[in-house]
Amino acid sequence: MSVYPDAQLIWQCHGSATLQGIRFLRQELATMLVTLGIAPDCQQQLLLGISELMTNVVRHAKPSAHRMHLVLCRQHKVIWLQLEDDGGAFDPIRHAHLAYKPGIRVQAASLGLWLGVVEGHSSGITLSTRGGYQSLQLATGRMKQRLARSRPTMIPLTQAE
Amino acid sequence: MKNQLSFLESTQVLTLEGDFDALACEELTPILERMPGCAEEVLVDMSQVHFIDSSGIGALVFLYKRLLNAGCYLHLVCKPGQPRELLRLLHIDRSVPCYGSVTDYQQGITDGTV
Repeated sequence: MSVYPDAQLIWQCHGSATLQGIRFLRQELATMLVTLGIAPDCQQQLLLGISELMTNVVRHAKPSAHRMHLVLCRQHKVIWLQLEDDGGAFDPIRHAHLAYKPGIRVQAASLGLWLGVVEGHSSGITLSTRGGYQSLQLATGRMKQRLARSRPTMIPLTQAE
Repeated sequence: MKNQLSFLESTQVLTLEGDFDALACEELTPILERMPGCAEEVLVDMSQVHFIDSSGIGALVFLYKRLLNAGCYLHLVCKPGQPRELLRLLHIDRSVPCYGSVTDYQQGITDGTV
């Protein structure tokens, strides 16, 4: 169910909070995005973004999540993609420390990239908690604009690091 | 994810097919940890990989560092698409030569900035 009362439900899919479940949900979403005629570059951004988010849920939620739920809904001309899971919240202090660790930030800057947390309605990305579920929504149109401006990136860390 | 190991002269070739995500990395870890074996170069053929995420990128970086420590080199075959675009965005193609096909690799024709 969408957190937006006037939004129209387009599609929803449940999966287990496992690595297999991530692949299943991503592939189901990919099929739906093609059906909806979403632009290919936007499809790629959504699939990569949701894959990273689901992986974080599976690996870091404490207590562990068992189920994940993807919802696509339309509100006027904006399509929202929403991820819900039944796991506990990440440790905000530990993860904020990692995200803003000076070494990682400097490394990103040296590559001409930007690292940070994008949040808020104006960015097209919304985080909330509702009925014990964590919920994250991405809006296609606004998100694309925001992503182009902020150049978000990932820093790959090997096991040795 | 399907994978196959073969040799192309002195190059060990790892051919991948499917999504290169966290699940694929769990399956591939034992194979990557056995590399480079007796090869001087390793070629990862990702021409049939249509999706890669940070887990897949991490596995490639892990392999790159492992090979470098052994005095070997990593090369990638990657067609235009999401994986190639992410390699470009993360500047990995500046360190690891990328080719459009195995034939291009044999002829030394890179499509990256290396």
